[in-house]
Amino acid sequence: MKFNNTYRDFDKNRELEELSHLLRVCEIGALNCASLLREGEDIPIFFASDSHLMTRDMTFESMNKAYNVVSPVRNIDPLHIDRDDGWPGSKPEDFFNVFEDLLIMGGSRAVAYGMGSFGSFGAAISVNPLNIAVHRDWTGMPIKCPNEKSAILRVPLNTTFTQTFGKSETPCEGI
Amino acid sequence: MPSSRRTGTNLKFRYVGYCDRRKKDNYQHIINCTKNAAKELSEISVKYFITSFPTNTYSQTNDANQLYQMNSYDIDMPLLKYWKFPEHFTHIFWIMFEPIPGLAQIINRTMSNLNLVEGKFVSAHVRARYPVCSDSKIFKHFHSYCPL
Repeated sequence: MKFNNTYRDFDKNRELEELSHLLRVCEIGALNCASLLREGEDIPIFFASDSHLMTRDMTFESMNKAYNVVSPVRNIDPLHIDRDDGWPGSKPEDFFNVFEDLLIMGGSRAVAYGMGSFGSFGAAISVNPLNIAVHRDWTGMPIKCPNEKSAILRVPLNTTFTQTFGKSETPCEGI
Repeated sequence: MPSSRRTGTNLKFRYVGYCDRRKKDNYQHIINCTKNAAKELSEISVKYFITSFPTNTYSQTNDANQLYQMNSYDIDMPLLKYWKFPEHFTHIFWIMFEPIPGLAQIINRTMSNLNLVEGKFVSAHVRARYPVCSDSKIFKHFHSYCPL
């Protein structure tokens, strides 16, 4: 099946070059953050990405074996499902590996994620959704762990809307 | 109710009321109705409640989240700036959804092949494709997909 999507139509060599660069920039940050989540235990890191090239490199590169990285070996990228008619002629099973990644992340103890909502969704359905690490900021730049974005600052339960956020436009005071 | 794949528990619901949209001053009514219901729920052992707000405006969504959190956490709640998915989203998700058999087989086979046991591994996700335009600061090739 040939998919028609502008994002996927760029030159393969340049794609590999860009992905290689991306790999160098992000892989160490992502794995370091995930490694912190292991809390000293020798447990594997399940690696997921929307690029099968990245997952392949993560799995087979010897430097990453020190992290005990595991990932399914695939020949195609998981498809994004947020584009209307982005994959004409596709069947439900064409998207199985998307849900495979998501639900396996959901079975993990903790999740390190960067940009986009897919990783954070996986974290949200994980065993401990508060045990997270964020390895990229909203601009895409890698950030080291631990960092403030991974924190969940909390306020006392009896804090009112006004005390927390200033004057409210809605009648929520006194809750 | 379907069973949770992870916990195997069955939730039991007790009807304590329904905050509807039909009355005048919809929004204030729903706020007060939910507050009263939450107070009543706090005094009984079954603590599940469904409410809805008239619109999805920013302010009402914020208030709904605030109301929800204030009655869902024991001691404290996340500050809005540090909002993540609610803590019990995972339980709601696994109660509401489960993979179809074909997908479940694939997942089980993959986890078995990778020696992954639920709760005994961590995950890392990297978004590599489908860049947002801010990615073009790092990856020059993505410039061609971004507006000038």
